[in-house]
Amino acid sequence: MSTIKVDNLQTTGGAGLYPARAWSTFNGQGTVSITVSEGVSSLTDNGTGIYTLNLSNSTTTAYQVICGSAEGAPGVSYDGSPVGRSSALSNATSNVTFQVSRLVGSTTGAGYDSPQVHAVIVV
Amino acid sequence: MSNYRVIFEDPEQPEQPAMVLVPSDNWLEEAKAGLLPPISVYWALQDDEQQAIAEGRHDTFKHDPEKHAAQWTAPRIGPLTEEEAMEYLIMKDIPRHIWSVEYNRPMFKIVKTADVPSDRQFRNAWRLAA
Repeated sequence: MSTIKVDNLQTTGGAGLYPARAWSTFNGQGTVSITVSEGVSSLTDNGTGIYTLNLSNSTTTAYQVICGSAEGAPGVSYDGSPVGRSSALSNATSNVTFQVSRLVGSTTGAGYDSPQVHAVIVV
Repeated sequence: MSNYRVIFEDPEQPEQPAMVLVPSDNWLEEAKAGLLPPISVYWALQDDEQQAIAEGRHDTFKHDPEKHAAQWTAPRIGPLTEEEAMEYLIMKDIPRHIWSVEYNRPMFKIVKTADVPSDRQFRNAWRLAA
């Protein structure tokens, strides 16, 4: 297997390319387990719907971007569960803490343990 | 999949429920293959960042390039057993004040995966009794 090491990625036209630094799909219900991941050393289950992805290697700054999605509650229409951060959640160069929230229903915005969470970290 | 999980509490956040650390299989494979740098590489980065936070300059903080590159350039420590890898992971991914300070009772425990309560209601009620 070959490894390509570069400091900058660009298209042939010169536009910058910014690949994901880490990503993970995990089951947030029951005993939390990581289904697949890259660039992640561990996952911390902090409480209902709140997780920390610990990165295999620290980034240079704490301004990572996290995006993702999660499976909603069974039988609830349009209940996608967004993945997001807030100022109440810590951030560091070595990890990203985020919340999976309900999108609809009486508990909209509350933390939610989704059976399938997908999270991507871009720097 | 790893046989272990780490349950821990943060004495600085007594209202926080017990937390569960789940190791990544990919990372464990790297640890067993001897691809990790000395843990001191990560501690040096954490120390610099903590100092920046304490001095109120985390928003503009950027790691020293040489220390940051050491994550890949430092000599590797050699293959670890799964148990050694779990100890390394605790020192890397769990805040240092949780595992490096001796409290009146343990703040973290390495447990078999099957021993973790799957029902959050009871996990939240659980405390790490000695």
